[in-house]
Amino acid sequence: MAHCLLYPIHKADLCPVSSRTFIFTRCRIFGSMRKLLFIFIVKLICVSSMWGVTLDSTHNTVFNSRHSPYTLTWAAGIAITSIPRDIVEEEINRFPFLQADIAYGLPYNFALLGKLNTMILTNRLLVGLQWNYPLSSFDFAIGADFGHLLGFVTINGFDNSINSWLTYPYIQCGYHYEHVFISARAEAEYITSQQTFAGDIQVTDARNRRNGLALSVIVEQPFFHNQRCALGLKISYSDFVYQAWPAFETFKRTLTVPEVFCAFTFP
Amino acid sequence: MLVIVLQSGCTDNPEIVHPTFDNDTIIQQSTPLQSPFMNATEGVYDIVGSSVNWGSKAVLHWTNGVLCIYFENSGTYAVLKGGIVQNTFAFSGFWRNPLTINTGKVQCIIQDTSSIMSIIRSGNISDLANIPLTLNILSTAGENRQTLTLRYIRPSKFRNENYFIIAHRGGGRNSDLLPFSENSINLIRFSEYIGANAVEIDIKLTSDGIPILYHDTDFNSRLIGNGTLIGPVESFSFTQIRTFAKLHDGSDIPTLREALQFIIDSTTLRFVWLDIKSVNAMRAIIPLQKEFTQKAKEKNKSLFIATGLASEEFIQDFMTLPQFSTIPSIVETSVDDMRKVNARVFAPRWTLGTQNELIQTVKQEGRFALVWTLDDQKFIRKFLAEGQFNGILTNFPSIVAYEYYVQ
Repeated sequence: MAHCLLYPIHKADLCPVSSRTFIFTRCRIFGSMRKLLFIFIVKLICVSSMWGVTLDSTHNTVFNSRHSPYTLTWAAGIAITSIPRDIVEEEINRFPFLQADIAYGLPYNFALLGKLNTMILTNRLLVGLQWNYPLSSFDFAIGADFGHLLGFVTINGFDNSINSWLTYPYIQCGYHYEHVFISARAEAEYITSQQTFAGDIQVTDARNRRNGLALSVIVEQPFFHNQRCALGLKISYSDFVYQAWPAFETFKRTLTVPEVFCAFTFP
Repeated sequence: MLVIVLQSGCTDNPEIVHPTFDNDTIIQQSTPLQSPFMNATEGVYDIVGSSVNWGSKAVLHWTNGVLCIYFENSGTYAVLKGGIVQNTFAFSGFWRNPLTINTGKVQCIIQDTSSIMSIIRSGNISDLANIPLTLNILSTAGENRQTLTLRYIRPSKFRNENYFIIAHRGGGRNSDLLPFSENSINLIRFSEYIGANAVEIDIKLTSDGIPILYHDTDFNSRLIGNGTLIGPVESFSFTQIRTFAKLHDGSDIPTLREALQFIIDSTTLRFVWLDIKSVNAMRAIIPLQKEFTQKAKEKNKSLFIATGLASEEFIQDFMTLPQFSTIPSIVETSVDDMRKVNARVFAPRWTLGTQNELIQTVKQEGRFALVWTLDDQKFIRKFLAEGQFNGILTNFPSIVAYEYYVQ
């Protein structure tokens, strides 16, 4: 891991500067993505020490596709997305999203899933159905999430809002070793219907549009008593990134957007 | 997964290869054209044949001896240089769709030079319709992608002094992936090629009181290419900024003085909107505004420089200046505020609509009305067709240029 060194300007070299001012040395090889990756790896190592918890390996998880029938499990955490700065500029803070997940096992390896992402100005609620095929330590699942995105924000006097219906079909595979569950998911993103508004004026109206793809890896493991900790990394390759909707970008580009999330699951 | 992550993290921007412009042999070997040819060939053209990516019409316009073509579809533009090469008219340059990363080279050769010259001599410009203008659209690598044929229809109103196509941040934002950085000297020059006849530039103040062109509060990776400085812009002296900070295109952050001098000396831009990004910059800007307005007058150049007052805070500070009512200013808040400071320009945001009655009143008082920031082609078309504004501030001047000149 390359290091970025920050140190104040030497007063002998330059005129006085404020304490918040720094000279930044070394090139930015990987930019903000490197920081996210660093956080992800450090957290993974830290949590791997596991505080002496002994859980049954079949214990319910949220993100892995094994769910016992009629059992409810939920998770709460935060998700941090790295959106290219040239798009969001200064007006939109890259604020972490609160994330809540819920899983309810059904017979015949089916499960109902729900997810809420919110940071007040942007809110996405997903509801999904999943079918799982367990095979020894592995499991394979297919499913789809259906969701609604609502957002409201005022930037530079513009009262912007978004109203969108989204669909995410996916396939997922998982592996568990003792207490640790690893899941990998590939999902497609479709915009069923989406309208953006500036005040009362409808700026865009998109329908039945293929938006992009996303790959994610989630590690779920015991943390404390019956709690589990989940760490995830998701890479989206999408035309529309819901976290950046207030940018109202006119330029048509497909963005590679990484997201790291950390959550605690509760049985 | 790791490979994807690391690869995606290498840059914030998608790759775009801007074709080279000045090294082309056509440009190097050509002799410049005379203004009668340029004046005669300006106008609205039909695109004959395949026009899927270009639309059905194009507008041809000369700026500082550079041939600029604005197409109907998404404001796609072509910028060509050239002249007479061995008894033919030959031009070479590049095209770009401003809403995507699509770009490439373009060449235009007209063999029938004697016919064109005789038409120009006769004054029957409409006869130019008989001489097709053929554009060879190439990829960035130089392979032929498409041949477009343009036919002259009619002249356009390029010399209307009362309409301003104002390029935001000197020509566009960094996110629009232009060949030059936002608020740079090079982009101000380039803004003319993509249709602007006016620019809006953002002004911050250095710690030693020098107004510079910069948009954000802090130095950051969005605007600075070499990532040497971190912190608020106003914490650094001009020397520090010149020494350590380079824009993404490798150029220096220009001072307001450099930018205004360049606009007067090297462009045909007619209006500069100074968007002040901090109140304390105002007192340093006004003397420069007066100085360069005077310099433009001395050069017999029509240039209107006005200070933007974006909020109540700016207006209050502006009103503490001596003889504030004589200083050309732009008020964005309300007509009442406009009258209070005797602003020459009223500039409401576009979401308030065309406001025709109000705009008519503003114009009757001898003031201008501009609207900001319009980027969507359908709204640009609507404001041009139904509105009464004197200009549009936009990140995509080529869209406004096409829609305005084709009217």
